[in-house]
Amino acid sequence: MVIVGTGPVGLALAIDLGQRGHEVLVIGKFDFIPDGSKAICFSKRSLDILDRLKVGGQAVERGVTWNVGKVFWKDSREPIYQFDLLPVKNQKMPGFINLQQYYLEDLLIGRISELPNVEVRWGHEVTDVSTSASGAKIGVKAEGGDYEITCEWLVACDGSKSTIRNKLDLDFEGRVFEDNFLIADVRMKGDFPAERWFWFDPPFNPGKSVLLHKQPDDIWRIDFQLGWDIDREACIRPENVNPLVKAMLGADVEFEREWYSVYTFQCRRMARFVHGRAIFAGDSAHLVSPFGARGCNGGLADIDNLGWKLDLVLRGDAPEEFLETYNIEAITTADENILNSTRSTDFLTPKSAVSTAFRDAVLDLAGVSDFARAFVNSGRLSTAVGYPDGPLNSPDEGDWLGGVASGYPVIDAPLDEGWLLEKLGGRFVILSNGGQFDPPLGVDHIDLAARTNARIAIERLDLRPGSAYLIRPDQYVAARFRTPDADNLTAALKRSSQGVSA
Amino acid sequence: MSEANILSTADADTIYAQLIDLHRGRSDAESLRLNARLILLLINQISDVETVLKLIASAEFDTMTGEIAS
Ligand SMILES: Cc1cc2nc3c(=O)[nH]c(=O)nc-3n(C[C@H](O)[C@H](O)[C@H](O)COP(=O)(O)OP(=O)(O)OC[C@H]3O[C@@H](n4cnc5c(N)ncnc54)[C@H](O)[C@@H]3O)c2cc1C
Repeated sequence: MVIVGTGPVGLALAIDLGQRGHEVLVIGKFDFIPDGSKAICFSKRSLDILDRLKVGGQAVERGVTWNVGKVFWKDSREPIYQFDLLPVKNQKMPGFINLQQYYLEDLLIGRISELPNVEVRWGHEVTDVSTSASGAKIGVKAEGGDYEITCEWLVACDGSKSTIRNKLDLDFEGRVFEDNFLIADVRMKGDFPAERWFWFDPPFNPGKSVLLHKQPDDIWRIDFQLGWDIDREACIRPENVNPLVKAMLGADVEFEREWYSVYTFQCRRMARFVHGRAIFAGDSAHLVSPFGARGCNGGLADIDNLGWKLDLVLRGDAPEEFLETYNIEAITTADENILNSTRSTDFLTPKSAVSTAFRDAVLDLAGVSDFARAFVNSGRLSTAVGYPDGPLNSPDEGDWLGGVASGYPVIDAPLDEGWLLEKLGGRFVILSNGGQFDPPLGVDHIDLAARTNARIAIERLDLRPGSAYLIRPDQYVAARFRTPDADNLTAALKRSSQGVSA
Repeated sequence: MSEANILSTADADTIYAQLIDLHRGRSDAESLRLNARLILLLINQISDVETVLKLIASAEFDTMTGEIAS
């Protein structure tokens, strides 16, 4: 089992498979963690995943927690629109944290060092790849001499310029957006709150947008929209950036440059993520615009979906074809992320006089009328994506109105002294409220009726007495029953762990 | 297209005149913005996704046959 890439996605997958007891080799071309400006916003769903990988607590501790986003227009002091990313409280993890990507990578590497069955080779570059029906072969360039490795499964987490994708001559279709954004990461003692602040057409960047985020260590990210025709070299020179930042923060605020860079973006994905024994996850498989923070969060969703499925296949408990369900579900996620980030981009950077008119009309009305606020799109922030028509779901048994439907992640709630999601862990679980049945062999049964502090969990899941959920190892609901019994539970388990109906 | 609730010519003329008045003396950009606001207000009044989506699609009808582009 080989993973190519030591970005957040490859490292997280290595931990997941390592925790499940597999021998994992990770190959990464750098022998350092690159700094510079990359992801900062990590979603609640990602934190739930990271918690399962045993670094969630540290990420929250190290990061800046935030839940509220505000949107300003022109020189307005009051937001024209405001949203809360954690509308349902009483969950272990917050709506979002901001944490520099290199800090997250550092935490992941720390966790890997606790797993003796995971080996990371730093400074080794994959230069060649071929696949067969039974595995893959890669060529690796390393200081101590080039070599080849054959493996049963190869997961390509090698980023947007994926060597594996290119060498296998695979497609990567989509749209490039004609706009540039300047990222100014600055160090300052600002008294802005830990919230996401977004401006349309502010006096300090007329006609364009600006985004402000707080990061740990008194670092702030300011993201200025620049437009299309720019000199990329000149744009990041301090003598050009500093006046922009000053105009925004006010002449009396002292700040220091941390990192200035310019980026453009694209929304694209591969037609398929599973190519025989080579599987793609993260930026190698899909790219989105950063508005909505769906890049790295989307990549973590990939490995959350892939880890347990590969585990079953590696153990011989599920057929190889089971991985097709990763292809289906991860593409559902990627498409939703691409759709949302494309829509945000079209709102942020209108492409014609008419779309500008609609955008400005929305902003006009949002200041005075509730209904228009829903149209304001400064980025729809990453949340877990559902698979309502997913191949692993079983239809509801009995009458369900509330709760969490099949194909959606279980919502967290307090339980005993801790939290529901912690107790679910990374395995198949039957969660019931006093359910009377024999659980299928090897599947744990958590009976909320026998636990303390379970009222909120019971309500959130609409677990009336006697009913039960079957929950997948990625904490998505596979099936739910008002009258669970050994037969319907076994059938649903078979479907969700084999991809076939009984 | 639906022909329900046909307006009287008098009402139609009044509404039409108001629309033209709204745009009198405006630049194209201002007019576009006003029209966009108006469309949003109408959408709010209709307040039903299915109906709104149908109406948006029906804007692209064939002027000869009245058929809505698919
Ligand atoms: C300015 C900016 C802001 C962003 N903000 C956010 C945000 O707030 N939230 C969010 O979720 N996402 C954000 N993103 C996106 C996020 O950074 C990416 O989605 C994320 O880095 C993808 O992780 P990855 O592991 O798939 O790929 P990468 O991080 O690109 O890692 C790829 C890895 O593969 C290695 N590699 C590549 N080729 C080879 C090879 N041939 N051999 C061996 N190793 C190889 C590289 O060295 C690297 O370690 C942002 C991106 C940018 C640019």
